[in-house]
Amino acid sequence: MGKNDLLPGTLDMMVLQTLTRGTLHGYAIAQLLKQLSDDILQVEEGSLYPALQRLELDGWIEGEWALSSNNRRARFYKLTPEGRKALASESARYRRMTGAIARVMGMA
Amino acid sequence: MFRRWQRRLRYWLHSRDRARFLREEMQAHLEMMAQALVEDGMAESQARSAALRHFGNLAHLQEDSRQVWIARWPSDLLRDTALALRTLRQQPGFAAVAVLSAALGIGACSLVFSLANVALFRPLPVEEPPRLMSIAGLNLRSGKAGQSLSFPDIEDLRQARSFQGIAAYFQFVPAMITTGGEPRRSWGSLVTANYFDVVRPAFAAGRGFAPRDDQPGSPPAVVLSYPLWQSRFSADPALLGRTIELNRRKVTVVGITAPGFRGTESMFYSDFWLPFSMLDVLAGEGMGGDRLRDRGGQWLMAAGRLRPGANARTAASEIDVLGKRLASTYPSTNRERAFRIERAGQLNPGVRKLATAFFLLLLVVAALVLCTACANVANLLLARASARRKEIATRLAIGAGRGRLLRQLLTESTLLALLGGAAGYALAQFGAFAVARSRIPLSLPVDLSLSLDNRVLLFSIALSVLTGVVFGLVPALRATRPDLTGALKGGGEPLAHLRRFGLRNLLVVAQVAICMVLLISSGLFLRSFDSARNAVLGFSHRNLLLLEFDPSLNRYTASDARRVTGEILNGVRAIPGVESASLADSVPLNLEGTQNAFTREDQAAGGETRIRADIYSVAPLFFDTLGIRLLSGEDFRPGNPSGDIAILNQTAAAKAFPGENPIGRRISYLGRTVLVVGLVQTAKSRTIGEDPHPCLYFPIARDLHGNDSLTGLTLVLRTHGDPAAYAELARQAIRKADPGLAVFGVRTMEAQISRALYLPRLTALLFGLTGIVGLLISSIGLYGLISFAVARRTSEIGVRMAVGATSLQVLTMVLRQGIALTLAGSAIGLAFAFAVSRTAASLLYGVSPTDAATFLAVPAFLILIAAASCLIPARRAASLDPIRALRCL
Repeated sequence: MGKNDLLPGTLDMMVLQTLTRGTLHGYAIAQLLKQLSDDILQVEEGSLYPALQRLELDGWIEGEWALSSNNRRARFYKLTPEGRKALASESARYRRMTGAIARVMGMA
Repeated sequence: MFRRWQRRLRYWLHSRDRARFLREEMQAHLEMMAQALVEDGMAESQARSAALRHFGNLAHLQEDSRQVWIARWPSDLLRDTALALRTLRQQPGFAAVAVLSAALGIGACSLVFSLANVALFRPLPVEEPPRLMSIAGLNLRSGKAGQSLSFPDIEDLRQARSFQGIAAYFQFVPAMITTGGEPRRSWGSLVTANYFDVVRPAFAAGRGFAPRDDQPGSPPAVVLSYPLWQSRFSADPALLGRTIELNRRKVTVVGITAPGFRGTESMFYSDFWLPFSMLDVLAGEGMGGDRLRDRGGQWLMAAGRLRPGANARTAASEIDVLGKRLASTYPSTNRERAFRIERAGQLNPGVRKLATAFFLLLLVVAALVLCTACANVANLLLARASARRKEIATRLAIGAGRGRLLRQLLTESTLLALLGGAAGYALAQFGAFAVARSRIPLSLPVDLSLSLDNRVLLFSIALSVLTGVVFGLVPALRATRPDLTGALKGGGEPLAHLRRFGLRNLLVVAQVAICMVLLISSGLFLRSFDSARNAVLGFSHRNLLLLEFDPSLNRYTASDARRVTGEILNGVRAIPGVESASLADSVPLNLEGTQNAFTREDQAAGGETRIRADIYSVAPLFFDTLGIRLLSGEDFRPGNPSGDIAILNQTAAAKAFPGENPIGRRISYLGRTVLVVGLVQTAKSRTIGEDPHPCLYFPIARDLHGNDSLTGLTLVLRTHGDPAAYAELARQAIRKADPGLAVFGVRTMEAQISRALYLPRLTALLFGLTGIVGLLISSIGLYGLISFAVARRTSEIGVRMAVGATSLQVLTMVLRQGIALTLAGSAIGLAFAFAVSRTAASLLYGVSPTDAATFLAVPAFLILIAAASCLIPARRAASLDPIRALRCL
């Protein structure tokens, strides 16, 4: 899945969504996205890491070094209060968009 | 938004740590992925590489991620620049040649631009310069623009409602300012009292004039320029409000303008400004007041400031309408007069066309030099690009984008050009200094100070970048042409490239052609200069000393003036070693002087018989002193009757009285009838290059005290031995007659002649210099090309020698390539030069535009130099050791 295959901003939104479950590192986020989408969404690292940087720049997530479950040093990301607000407005926007697209396509 | 930038700044401050974080983070990701694969049953070594494959180019990915925080191009640019600097440092020879070439070209262009900048573009240092308009007359009959105005006309134009105010001024006022007992002449302007309110320059101290300052009888006031205040009054801060002595009158200094302001005329400067009430004081008796009431006499310039809200177009039409009304009200004076406005501070439209053409010519020459220089840079870049093929191919192969590589190569060429531009700017700075110091053969206050302002700097930078990009682009495109396999495999270029590097040959041919044009032009101008120097002058120029003084500045009465000049003449004649002495308002080979028309008295009615002549006023013994032969009739005598008499030169006589004896005949001059009493041989009058001018000599006694000449009188001494040695004695003689008289322009006639050769010398120098520079650049180019060809053909030459070619054969083979290019370029250049030189015929003196000697000698010289510059690489080729050469194969 290339970054152009999604609606703009969707990847960022989905990353935020995964982080509502707690702090996660990059690999875990990618795995989680894959699992949650039943293997349909395979996020490329080439898209994931720029997205993480973007979200950090926006102040929606914060990164911190910690040890992973198998004792490996990894950078864990956590949602900030601003990120939570952003996620709410993003998902509302997304609902409106998909609803609209579905109506156009005659699926609703 | 603000927080974002804060975070960005923090990132940037810790950018190195953050880059490491990213690397470690991805590394961790990679390992987790590999471990997952192992858990799925893949072998450990395979798992790692599979994960890596999935991940893609790690470095790329890190770059992409970092780019979120910091845009990439600045760091790329920085890195490219560092790399370019490093590569250039590794090849100092290449860098030096390229930078030097670019420096010469860009320097030449910048210097020309700085000239044009001053003359054509620089805004005046006044408040809101675009709203200050100059108002000038247009002669409807001759079509000449930029004419001076009469004062009554200006007063009537003041009705124009688009202007807040209109000021009138007269630019060329010489005056004697005395400081510490020493009188010295300065140039200033006469202005209406509202001048400073209209023009609004900044003041270093004080103010402009008050409204009543130009009323007759008001206490005299003066505004000084900053440079004058500095040079004559040592920047005395207490000068304001004090009086200074100007033409022996006390005037009060009311203001000192800020450093940049020296009047509103482009290329001329003023060092002081006086209100019109001083007119009488300056002009001598009986000259002043009437002038302000005379609608016929056009002698003033005008400047107007637009009212807020008014624009230049409505102002122009308003002025035009007023002009038409004046023309119908005063048909006798204004019938052929119209008025035009334009932004103030531009060159007078009368000379603008000429100046623009001159600058254009200079610019073309400079651009030609720049082109040859850039051809060199391009050629060097091309050569280097083919030498670097392997490096570039490798970089392309490991995934560098072509665009990215292009950018890097262009960075390199632009850096070269910028370095060249910096050196060129320094050269231009030096050139401007030289121009400012060069003495123009005029005594008018010509301002040649070329401050290289920001505009010139910007021009140089823009030109450098343009040069770098334009001339780097083709080599860069070529270098990055995707032809990987060939380049990686062989290391050398494909065979086709070996034989003909078409573009590079073309560049060298063009260089040689341009160089030929420049050299032929300089040859022609040098020959012209030479023949001007050896021209027959018509007077004997050795052992003559010239001194100028201006009695009109001292407000003499007519009798005083006669007494003082008489005492001066007697004084200098009494100096031992002075063989003869005389006085004139102007001497031969002064560029400025009076010109006017006369007619035979019996033809005064007809207009066609008017003869324009140079007018001289001379004292007795003038011809004797200068060595101009009196052919018939007699010289003026002391105390000549005030009745009008004149002496003609041969040219004037031949025009007015062809085949007749002019002595005793009458001519009509300015409405007066003048008796011709003498005939003298024709001498050079204004310039050495001129055709014989008709000249009319009048006795000087008539207008000693109040002549219109701006430049005063010239004392001429014929001396025994070195004339310069008599300068101090002559000064003393003048000081003895009147210690308050300023003496200026002390020089020998030989110095005057060398000043008169200024223009021919300047053009010869200019073209000579550019020709030599062009030659230098072209021979470097040729040398580079041939060296490169030899290097490329090393193995081929080795084969040839192995199968029996002698070194002489190799030598001629290499030479032939260089000579063929030179001949091709020379032929093109000659054809151009032949076409161009005809248009320059009017600038040449005593030499035909197709001068055979020049057209033979210059190509021979050029081809010789070209052969010499090919000889070095050719000899290197000829002395190749075939065994070592073959090993290169």
